[in-house]
Amino acid sequence: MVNLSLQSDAEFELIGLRGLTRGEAKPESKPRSSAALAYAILCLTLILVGLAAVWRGNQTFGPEMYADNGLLPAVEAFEKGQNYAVFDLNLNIRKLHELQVSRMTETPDVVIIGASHWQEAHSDLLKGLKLYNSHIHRDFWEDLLGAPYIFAANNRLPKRMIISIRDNQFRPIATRPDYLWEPGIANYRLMADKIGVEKESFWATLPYQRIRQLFSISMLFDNVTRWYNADVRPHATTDARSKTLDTLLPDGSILWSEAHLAFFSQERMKKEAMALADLRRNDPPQVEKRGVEAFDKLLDYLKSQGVTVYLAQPPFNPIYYDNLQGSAYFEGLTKVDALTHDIAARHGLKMIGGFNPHKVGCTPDMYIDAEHSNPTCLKKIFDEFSEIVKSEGGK
Amino acid sequence: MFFTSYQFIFLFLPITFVCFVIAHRLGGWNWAINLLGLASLIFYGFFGIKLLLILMASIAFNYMLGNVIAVLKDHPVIAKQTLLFSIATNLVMLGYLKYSNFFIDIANKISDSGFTHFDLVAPIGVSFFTFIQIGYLIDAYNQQLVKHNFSRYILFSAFFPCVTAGPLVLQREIMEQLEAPQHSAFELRRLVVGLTMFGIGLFKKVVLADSIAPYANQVFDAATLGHHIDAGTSWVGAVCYALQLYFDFSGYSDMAIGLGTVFGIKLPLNFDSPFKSTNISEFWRRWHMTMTRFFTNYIYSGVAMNGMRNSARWRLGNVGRFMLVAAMPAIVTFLVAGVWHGSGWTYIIYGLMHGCAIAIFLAWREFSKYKLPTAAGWLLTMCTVVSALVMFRAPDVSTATTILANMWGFGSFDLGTTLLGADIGRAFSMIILFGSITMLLPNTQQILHHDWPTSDVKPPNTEMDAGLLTWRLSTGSAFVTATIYTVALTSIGTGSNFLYYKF
Repeated sequence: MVNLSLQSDAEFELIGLRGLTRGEAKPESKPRSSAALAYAILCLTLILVGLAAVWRGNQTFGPEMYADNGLLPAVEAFEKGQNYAVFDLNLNIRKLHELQVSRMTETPDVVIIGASHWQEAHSDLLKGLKLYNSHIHRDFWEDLLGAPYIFAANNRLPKRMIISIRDNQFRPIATRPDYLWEPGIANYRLMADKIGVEKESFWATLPYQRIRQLFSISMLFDNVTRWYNADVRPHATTDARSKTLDTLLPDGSILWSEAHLAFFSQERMKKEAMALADLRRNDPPQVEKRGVEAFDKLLDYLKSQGVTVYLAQPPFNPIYYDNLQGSAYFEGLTKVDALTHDIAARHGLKMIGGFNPHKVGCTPDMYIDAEHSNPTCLKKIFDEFSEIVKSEGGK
Repeated sequence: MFFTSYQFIFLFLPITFVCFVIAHRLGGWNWAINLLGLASLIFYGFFGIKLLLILMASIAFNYMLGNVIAVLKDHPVIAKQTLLFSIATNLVMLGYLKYSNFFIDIANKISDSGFTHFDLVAPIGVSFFTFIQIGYLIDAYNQQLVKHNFSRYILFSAFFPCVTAGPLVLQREIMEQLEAPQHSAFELRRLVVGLTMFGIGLFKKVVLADSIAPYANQVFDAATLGHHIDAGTSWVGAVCYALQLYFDFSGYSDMAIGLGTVFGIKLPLNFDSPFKSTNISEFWRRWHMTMTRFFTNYIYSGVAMNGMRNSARWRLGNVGRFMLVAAMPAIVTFLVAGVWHGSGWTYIIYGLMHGCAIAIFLAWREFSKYKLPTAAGWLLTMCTVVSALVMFRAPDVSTATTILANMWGFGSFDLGTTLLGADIGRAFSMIILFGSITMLLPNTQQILHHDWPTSDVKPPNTEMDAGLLTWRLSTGSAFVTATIYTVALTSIGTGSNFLYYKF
């Protein structure tokens, strides 16, 4: 029988692949296990201290994003009729709304629930009605439940609510490219309980990426660097527009800094729109059926509470929209469009806006980047809304 | 679920360990082994139920055939036929899962036809668990099996620390440990040593490998898209990738060995400071050592012995004998090693590059009286390794040849590094820093040599001294370990997979 397995050093030596082993060492005396226990405790303590330091550091130097009450100064400023300037819009905007709504003394007439497409929808776009812009970044269908919950829990449900449906609104959790939806999960779960919707599993909605960010040393480095390099840090202000900081307004909308506006040139916007279209061409919007069912129940609940809901679609940047014609993405978008119309029909809701910018009348110069329109475009949708309200006999 | 995920570190590992200790207390070592086997299957199941079924089918098939082969010791012809059948079945399965689309591409190119690709997902670690089990079958044929049963076999072939990317263990080094009756489930010192090694590996992966990866990716991605890559950029990209792969895979190996230690199962070493090698043969003694051992055992030896017999029969001279006994076996062995890594011409060429390099080195050693100075030997070795790794990393041969041509003066002579722009300073600093770590600092086993956490026999202490960095149960070591853990745990990124998971 041929021995197929040869392991001696001599055979390894054939190609110089002699084993690592070259001799036996004397066994070494091992300290007692109490020393190992002390070592383990010391190590564990130091690691916990280290992790706590990073966590605390991120909360200290990036309070708007990471600290529970990091946006309290902003809300306090709003109560005094001031604005609040921040480094940028990377902040926990869901928490901001939660804090602000919990301290509201008056219920708004109209609330917008939607994504960052609506961030520049200021209250002056709607004459005669008190508007609160409850937009959030990267909203998914759980936010459609979580955001209204804030108003319901504080008895501040408005008479009219504009709920915006974006392309990836109903995207399943497993395929989501970002984690900004995670801080809204608690409110989503509470609303799901309230209206009797089966919740996503605990594991699927664990705010894993947010926790990771809180404990991220590179994030801490960025936060500390930004904090110490900044000429001006976040503060309450009566100025409408700051040179370097973006401004949060009491109505929930935002104003870009001069620096940001200069950065968002038309040339840059065109490049971004083309690049984003290329990126998404083969990544069609997906629809999680459970999300649609949950939204149906939410609409029933809001109706039972006397809230009139208007479904909105944010118009896309025309360059982006035109470049995606015929793509797999566009096919998916068409399905989401049909779904939105179907929901509106089933619940007897009126629709405003539209994914198609040409239909709404928004042109490329009304966009600051690939996705976000400026107030000129948004005004067209609010004019449409005002007409509907007027036709309903509202003021 | 990856070793670098919070889910693994804070949930799977502690839960498995606690269950392991409880199982041992309740039912002894056999219960603990059963529990570890089950945990390993659950771990693998996180990659997908279909993939788990493939693994389980492979385990059941090989265990059954291995036992049949062992029983047939008095019928060597049938035993050999059964062995060949079982190896062929494993290779066909591996070939179908990993290489069928590659062959379809070749067929389409040759016949200008339009066969469509199979919709296949190769299970993570399929090359590893298939070859581990082929080793088991050969050991069964050679009557070298250590006493075992099915639950021990599951643990041997699917042990979660090594099922995804090695080390490529041999049945005897695992089964002998599982057979040891004195095993205890909980030893604090062993736990501490294992977790320290795991932490060092985690640091290598998430702090070192992941931070240099973007520079390598930028260069290779740009070359793939057909952008102009100058010579300086090509070198920076290639060296960054070599360092990334080293810290990625040696980090993974440290984590795997550390995890094995936690559960009282010692795994073999996989890396021994390969970038300190001064010739290519030494490099392969130090780089992916268990793969080298496997291919040397099961392929090189057979081809070399065949060559020996033929050279004696044909009465060949020195050169002919050298070709048959050393050069040819080396080239064949590394060609197979290249193909083992994946489907595609790049892997075939990668294997051939190393096979030829080994053959040239052996010829030099055999026939030349001139010995290269150590520094020149090191430089030549590193140039060979880095160049071959360009082929290994590139998505296709054309991209690899573009980068290699630029590196070696056949493309752009421009030494500028325009692509990386302002990042070039940072990339260069990283190369200096990370290169210094590989060259000047002791490796993990040297740092932990007092508690030698691997199944390899420990070399004399004189070769292992790590000086001040030697790990001890001391306050200083606790501070260093805690710092490593803190930085690593706070640097875990998203989607940071091990490079070797695709093999």
